[in-house]
Amino acid sequence: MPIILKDIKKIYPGSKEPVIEGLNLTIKDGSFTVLLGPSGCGKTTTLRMIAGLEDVTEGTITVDNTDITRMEPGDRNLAMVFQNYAIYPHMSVKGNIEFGLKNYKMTKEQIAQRIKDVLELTGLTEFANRMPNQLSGGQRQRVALARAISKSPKAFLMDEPLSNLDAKLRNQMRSELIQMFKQMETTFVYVTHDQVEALTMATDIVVMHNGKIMQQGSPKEIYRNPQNIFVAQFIGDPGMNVFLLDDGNYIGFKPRGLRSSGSDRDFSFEADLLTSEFLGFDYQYTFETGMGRIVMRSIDELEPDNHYRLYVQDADLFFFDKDQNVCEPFAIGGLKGVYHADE
Amino acid sequence: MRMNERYELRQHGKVYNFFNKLLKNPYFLIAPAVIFDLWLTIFPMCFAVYMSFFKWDPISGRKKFLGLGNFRYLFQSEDFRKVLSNTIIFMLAILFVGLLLKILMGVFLNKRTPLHNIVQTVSFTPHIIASVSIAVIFMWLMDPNNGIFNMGLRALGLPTSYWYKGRDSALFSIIIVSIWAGLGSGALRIIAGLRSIPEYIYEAAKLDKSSPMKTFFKITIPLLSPTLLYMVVTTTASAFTSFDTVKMMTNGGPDNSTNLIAFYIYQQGLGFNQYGRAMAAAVILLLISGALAVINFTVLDKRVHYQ
Ligand SMILES: Nc1ncnc2c1ncn2[C@@H]1O[C@H](COP(=O)(O)OP(=O)(O)OP(=O)(O)O)[C@@H](O)[C@H]1O
Ligand SMILES: [Mg+2]
Repeated sequence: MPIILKDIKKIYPGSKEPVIEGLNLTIKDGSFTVLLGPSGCGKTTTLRMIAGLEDVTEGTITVDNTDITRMEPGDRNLAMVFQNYAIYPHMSVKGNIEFGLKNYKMTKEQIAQRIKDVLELTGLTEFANRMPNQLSGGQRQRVALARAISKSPKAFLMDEPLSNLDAKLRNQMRSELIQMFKQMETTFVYVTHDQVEALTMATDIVVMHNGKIMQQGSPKEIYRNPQNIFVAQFIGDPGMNVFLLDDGNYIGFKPRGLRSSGSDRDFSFEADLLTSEFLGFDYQYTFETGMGRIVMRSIDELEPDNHYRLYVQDADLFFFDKDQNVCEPFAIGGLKGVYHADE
Repeated sequence: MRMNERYELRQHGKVYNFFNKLLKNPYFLIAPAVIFDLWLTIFPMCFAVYMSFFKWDPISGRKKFLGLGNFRYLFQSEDFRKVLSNTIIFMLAILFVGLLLKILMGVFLNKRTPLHNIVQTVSFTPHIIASVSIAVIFMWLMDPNNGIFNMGLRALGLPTSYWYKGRDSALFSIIIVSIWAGLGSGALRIIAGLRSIPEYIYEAAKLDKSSPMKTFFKITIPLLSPTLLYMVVTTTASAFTSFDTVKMMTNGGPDNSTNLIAFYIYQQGLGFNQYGRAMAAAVILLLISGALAVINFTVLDKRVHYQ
């Protein structure tokens, strides 16, 4: 029972340029799919089209083989958690959950039981009668979650639900969400621009850029085998170093694939150490190659203000063709310069 | 901080220091506003209360203490009772019918198309036209012989009305004019209130399968309640001080049928030279509207949701 988006195009009223075009995406049933990408790439738009809050200009969306493209949001059997929670400010915690349930064909007893269950599940039982303005941000987020869960939807749609929380609470909610996901065996579609969130929570990551899907795969696939330079540079902490070659192709290597010593057979080049940052477990170094800056992560301690020869083993090299897609290894010609996809 | 201040004091002369201190004194700073306020509101109010116990002729300057005589007169007077009941009918009508129409119009106009913007602007114009002009326009529209209203009714084959010139229809006419005059600005206030409700609340309601009706009564109205309370309070107050329309269109007639309390006060004072009696009526007005304000703020406030 997957959610399938087919040839989706979205043009916002009043503008001519589509923000999304030719988008094809299959969200597997029972997956925790994360839409990941830089700001403005169309993640929220995609999610809102699935929810029915935004019209689809062209294309179809199906859930369980039912075309829901033009269906009312309330009839899609999907629940959404908004970034700013969107809980009703004039209703108590209980009232917020009850409001939606009353529109379903449920008896009073069933509703009461359901409310009790979700309040327990989200740890809100003691706050049942509080008004939203008497709750902390984290508690409000839980109310939004409780409201979503109460409807036992086919899928949860979440738009950056943790971005308004502080770092500690975010970590805590993250693991709670993972637990919830495992308990409920429902599909989660989760939007974020935070790759740590994506890598830790997702079973499937969809990397988006300018309204297009750059790659879809498991966190490991995305991290280890980026399909193109955009994904390679977007994922990773920090992203991949890429050289543009004289022949128009590219080679890349991760900051952790860079070494300060190696053999003559390795790919190597000269660089000056500019800055070093101690990060606890390891160091992050920035080098000037004369063709642009590159970054290295290493547990080795390097002398500051020194000139180095840096090495990359064959196994750590990535090869990209002129279209910036991954390709078979080739003989490396002359280097033209350091390349950044986002510049 | 303290060091700095002392240093400052030593640096300047006595006059400078005196003014420096004075200008930092909050009471000195708000004094002009307070004096102005005392002079223009508190003083006349006390004067009115004082005068309500006298029979006073301001031309000769003679006054005679009557005790509660003016009040006794008013409550025994058929006219004054009529005035009170007129005022209450008037208030309830513009409060309920007026507010309802304002809400309907606000909801209807709350869209951002160019057409809606034009209608919004146009419907606001009564607010910037002098109420006297509005009265004149309606006297012309409502003219029993060749006014447009009756022409329309005749064309539709419906019975015509004497409007503001008829004993039974005059108060109704005054109410129509008053509601009409406040409709545009009231609707605009509603629109402002509606726009302060975030869109995502409505999206959450849509996902909750809430019908448009349910959304309106369970979400829009409660979230609009601060605006509504404000409008109830100001509308009530304006009903009690409504004067221009009555003065222009009917002079309280025919047969006192449109005599409202503000007009009655004017009539007793400037018309009949009964200043003490007018002041007594003003005191009663003050008590009623004060009580209503208290009720509005205590009873209604509990039901208002402030975000
Ligand atoms: N209501 C709208 N009208 C017109 N353009 C819009 C509207 N909403 C979004 N856009 C445009 O559509 C594009 C995608 O926006 P969207 O909100 O989907 O991005 P996003 O990936 O969610 O970004 P973020 O991470 O910043 O939330 C952006 O270029 C944005 O300017
Ligand atoms: Mg977004």
